[in-house]
Amino acid sequence: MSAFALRNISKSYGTNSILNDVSIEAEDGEFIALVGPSGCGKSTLLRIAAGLDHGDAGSIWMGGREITAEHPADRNVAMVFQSYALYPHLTAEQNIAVPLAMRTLSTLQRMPLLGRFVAGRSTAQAAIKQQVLATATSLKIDHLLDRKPGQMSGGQRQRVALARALVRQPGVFLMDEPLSNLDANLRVHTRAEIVDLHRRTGVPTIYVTHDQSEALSMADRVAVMMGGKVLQFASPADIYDDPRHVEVAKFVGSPRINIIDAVTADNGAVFFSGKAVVDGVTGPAGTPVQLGIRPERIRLRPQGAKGIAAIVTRLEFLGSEVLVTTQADGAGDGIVIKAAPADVSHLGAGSPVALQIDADACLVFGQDGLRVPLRATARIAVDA
Amino acid sequence: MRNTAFFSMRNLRLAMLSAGALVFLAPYIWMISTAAKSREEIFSSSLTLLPQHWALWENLAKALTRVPMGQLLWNGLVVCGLIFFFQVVIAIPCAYAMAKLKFRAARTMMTLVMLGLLIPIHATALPIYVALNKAGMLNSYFALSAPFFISVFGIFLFLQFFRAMPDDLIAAARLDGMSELAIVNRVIVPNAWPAVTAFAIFSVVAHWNDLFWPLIVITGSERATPPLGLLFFRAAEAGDDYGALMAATLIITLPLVAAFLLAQRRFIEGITLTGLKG
Repeated sequence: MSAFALRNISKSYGTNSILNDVSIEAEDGEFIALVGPSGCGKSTLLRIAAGLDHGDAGSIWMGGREITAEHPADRNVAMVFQSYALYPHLTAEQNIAVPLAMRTLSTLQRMPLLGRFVAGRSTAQAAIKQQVLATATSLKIDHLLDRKPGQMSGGQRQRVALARALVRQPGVFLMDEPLSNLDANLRVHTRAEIVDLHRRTGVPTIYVTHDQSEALSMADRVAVMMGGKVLQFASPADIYDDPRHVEVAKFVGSPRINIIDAVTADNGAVFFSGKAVVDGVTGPAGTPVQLGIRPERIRLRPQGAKGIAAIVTRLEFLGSEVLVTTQADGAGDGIVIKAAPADVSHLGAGSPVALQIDADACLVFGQDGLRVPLRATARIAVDA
Repeated sequence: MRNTAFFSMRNLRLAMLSAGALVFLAPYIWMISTAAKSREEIFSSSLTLLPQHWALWENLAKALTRVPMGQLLWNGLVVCGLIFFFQVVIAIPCAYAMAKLKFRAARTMMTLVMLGLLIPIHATALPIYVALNKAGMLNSYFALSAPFFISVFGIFLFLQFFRAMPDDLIAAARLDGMSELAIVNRVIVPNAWPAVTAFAIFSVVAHWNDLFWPLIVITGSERATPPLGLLFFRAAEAGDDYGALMAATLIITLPLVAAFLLAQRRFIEGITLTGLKG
């Protein structure tokens, strides 16, 4: 039984299908990232999880209890918005206290003037104040409690929004691109903080982002969404090394994976630039396939060495590594290789090189974009 | 060099603005001037802005004693207050629903609001008058204020303002456990002050100065609003004591002018924020 589950969610606006039979579940204490390009339906899915939107089909479960029809407030979910959505007219302290006040104080006790005379209000308010202070201290924003959102920086607002979500001890944490409004430096820093926070609280978290590096670095499991479907839902390592779909392979990883159009031969070998790089592809010969190779899995060798002949067209120095763009026969837009600076110091644009590709670095995708399984017995057959 | 400085763009702008301001202020200035003149001087052939004999106090005294000025101002205050209160109480939830909630009749309601904007009070005055008469409610605060409780202009103004409010804010409030009513009270209203102040100007100015409707439903001076009181005053004085009449007008316009000057900055903020011009 998972702590939080979305089962077979579908949603469409008119004829426009936004979500198509999407299922995601989070175990207790798990950090799930929903990643995909904008418009893939990930934010809609999150809003459905929160109860702000409703799916046309499917169900939502929390700890074995179905909450599909429940009002957002009754679901005990907390959400952090991209815009933070802090109440502009309230101080940080009041902002953080709102979810507690709405839950623990009665309608009468919340009345602006009358509330003061209702029994039990001051005790309840003192308890709220204490909880707010504890949460604020744990996020190191206790010195900001008197300020209004307008007087805070983006990073500070973000923390107040986190505190407001955290303070009520939710059953699940939903985050909608909470870092995308921060500058690059702060983003990397806050990333680590959110992961720490998640580890401390152990609340299952669903984190929506369009940044694949954020998803890979933070999450226990990543769901890659495209066109309203989950293409793959697996650990970051599996998503990167063992993508089930060519779109997943293309979306994850920077620089992008090299995708080369190729054709299978009689024995199931895949030819690229006149040389077979991998074999064992099932199915008839002459099938067009796509060959995916990660930039760091290709090695540069001197001209004439075993490998595919290519010409260097561009070098991009990135400090710890160099991106080498090369052109080989039948490689389309060129092949990008990630290399150590020392290995390419002698190269320049126009240098002829040989590309050495290991068979186990090759990912083969069919015409429909799905991974083509290779026969285990006949994997290594590098003729290059 | 000095010539170019004197005819600089800034000075030119200031001169044009001053001239414009003077044109708009002229009637008001003339009113104050007349209020300070004696009857003989008003009807004398020489036109002067500054009175030769100050008669402001006599005129003010006449204005205050011959009509129940306190009662008139109080009536104006009550009527404007009632109208404004109910307009806001009705228009804000209505505009919130139309701006932020999804329901089937939203489009129809929008069309009705637009239609409502096109219908002037004069078109509906007669049926409303007949209804009030049948109900025996003429000559009351209710008759003066009730026809204006639902302000389509107010709904429209708030609607535009609420549309610009972020949806996330309302989503956050719902997740925090607020009911729709609580969202209006605790999130929308506290952040809608610029729109409320802007609407306050339009509403209070329009109904404080309104003569048309009070003239229809009020017959005695007991419930008369300030402009209607002025009319009674003129009738009672056979229309020749202009000094006293202008003094009365001065008293009646003074509350609006004072209120505007006191809240000038907030009003301007409100108008610029809603993109409306008066």
